[in-house]
Amino acid sequence: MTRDEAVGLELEHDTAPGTVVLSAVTISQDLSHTFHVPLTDPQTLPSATGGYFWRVEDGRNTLVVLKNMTDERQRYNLIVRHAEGQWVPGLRTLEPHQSVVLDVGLLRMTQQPDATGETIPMTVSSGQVHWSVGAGSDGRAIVGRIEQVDLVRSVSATYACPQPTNDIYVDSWMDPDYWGIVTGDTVPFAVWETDEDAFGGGPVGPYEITDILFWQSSNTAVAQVVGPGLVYGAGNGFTGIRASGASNGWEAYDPEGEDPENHVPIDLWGDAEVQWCEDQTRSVMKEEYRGGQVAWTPDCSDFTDSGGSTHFSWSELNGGFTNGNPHSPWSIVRTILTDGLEDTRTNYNRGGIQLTSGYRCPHGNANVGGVQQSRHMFGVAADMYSAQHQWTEEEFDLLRNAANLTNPDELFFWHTYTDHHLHAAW
Amino acid sequence: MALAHQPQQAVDQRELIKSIVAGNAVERRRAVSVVERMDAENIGEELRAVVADALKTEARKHVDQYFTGRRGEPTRELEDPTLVAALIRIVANLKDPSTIPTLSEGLGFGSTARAALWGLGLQALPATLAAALSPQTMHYAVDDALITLRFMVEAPVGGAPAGPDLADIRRAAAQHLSGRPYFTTLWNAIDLAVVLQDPELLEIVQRLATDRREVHARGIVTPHIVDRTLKHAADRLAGSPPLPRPPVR
Repeated sequence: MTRDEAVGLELEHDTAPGTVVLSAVTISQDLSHTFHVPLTDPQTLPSATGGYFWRVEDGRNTLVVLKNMTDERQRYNLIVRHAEGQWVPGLRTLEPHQSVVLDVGLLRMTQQPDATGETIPMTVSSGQVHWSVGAGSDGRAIVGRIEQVDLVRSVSATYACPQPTNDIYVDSWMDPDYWGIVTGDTVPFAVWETDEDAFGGGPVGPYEITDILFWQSSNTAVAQVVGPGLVYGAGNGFTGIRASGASNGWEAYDPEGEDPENHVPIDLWGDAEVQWCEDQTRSVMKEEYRGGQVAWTPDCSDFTDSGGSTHFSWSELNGGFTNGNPHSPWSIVRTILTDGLEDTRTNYNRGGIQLTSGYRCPHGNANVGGVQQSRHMFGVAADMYSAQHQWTEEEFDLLRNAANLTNPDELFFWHTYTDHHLHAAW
Repeated sequence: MALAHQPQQAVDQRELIKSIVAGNAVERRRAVSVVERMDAENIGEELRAVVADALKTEARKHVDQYFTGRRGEPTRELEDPTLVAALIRIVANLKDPSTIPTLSEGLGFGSTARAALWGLGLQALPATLAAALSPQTMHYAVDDALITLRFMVEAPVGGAPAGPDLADIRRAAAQHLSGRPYFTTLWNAIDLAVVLQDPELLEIVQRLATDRREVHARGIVTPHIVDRTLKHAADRLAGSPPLPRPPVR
């Protein structure tokens, strides 16, 4: 947890670097303690990184103080190590000239979780704090110090390191690197990084670097990047999601040369599979309506996977899932159709009705030679015969009359179709 | 004026008109489907006229096919048999009395035209009567015309038929209670006659309810259809309401 009320002091001088030595004295609120705080000239004593001992017990506490010395926003990574693990809040940001104080005792006491939900256990009282300047071009952009305070014994000490030895990049990866997205939803991709403490303190992270990278979709008709790592499903299909840029950690040190000035290029890919509906079958069906120029596109919720009525089974209403609709068990069958069929059967009063076609998906409709915009695709039409009687024109008219009493929207004639089926739609 | 300067609605409707008049079957059907989804008030006069003409053309294809089949000659399937139903839906939705003649050509293809004609009130009576009485009408259309007339008596819109109008409706029922009507037409004529409560017509229905010979005399000889006709007449005389019921306004 950082203290919002942290204040930084900056004093300018016009003499050569290192010619001015300054310190500040702070007084505790109860006026019983004073603390001597040396001020750092960042040009001579950068103290941009650190790895220091922390202790919280018996009145002792540890504060980490960081300040952005530049006119640009800076990133830093901080880790609190202890015997049982580490506390890693992830990449933090300092605004131009902003100061921040991290109170280790307060973090432990309030059990503040880090980016992965871990807390500093109450059973640990010491460890190491490490911070490092992150993404950006200036490895010395932040100055920091650690302050040990013991109010009981009235002592304090402050530490800073002049050697800006920032964390060294080790690895990065995208996780999650695949999302199945329902059209209209937004999902979070993320990129993680691990570094190595250049002081030999061990691994740093993993921590998330999602928002310091540039994100792109390779097909914006399918998916669109709407924020760092945030991908919106726009259409239907499969596309690559790319995160590129530079690592937060720095390139490896050259023991013979200068401190590293560069980060490591990152170029990672993930996959987004966008589909209209939560399942592939309905997505395929919906795409048929869009691709087939049908003058209506169903919502995913228009498809159902079961139904039927007293005398008309789900399979029957779907041509046995072999004739006009292969997408078992999904279909569009409206209540008006099943009600119309049941009432027709009742009015007919001559036994069963055999359906030869009910719902058809657009591809199925084309395969069976159905007309464009057929009402079969809307789940309100059926083709039928008598199930029990010889199919004559007289029998046709009996069944047709029975259907006519139910106020159908479409009803045709004996000679309309060469196979003399009765087509009705409601 | 160049098309680019037309108001957006007019440009779209011109394309629709072009597709309906001169497009192939796919284009025509797609255009009709688009019009079907338009609000009635947004359908311009020119587009309305094109849809009406298309309805008449498609309906006549079915009528020609019907009479060809009736003559025992071979028939061919129409390119898009259900197109006429979509056109009827469009015209019905206009709720425009000037479409009555067009709607009357849509009788027989489902309930849309008869509900629309009934909804337009007694203005639609002459065209409905003409459909009921013309020998050039498919029996399917005669049946729907009789149903429409029954609706006009059972649940009148705007005013109940009386005087000469009622006499004309009675004449339609009488025509199809006698002679050699198709069995479904006879059933609808029975329904209309009972609703009219005309004594002479009721007497005919009474005979049809009790005497098989009366049914045979009308050319209906298939035993189960004879039985059904007797029962149909008896049920109506007993007060069982006919189907379909008039639409609910």
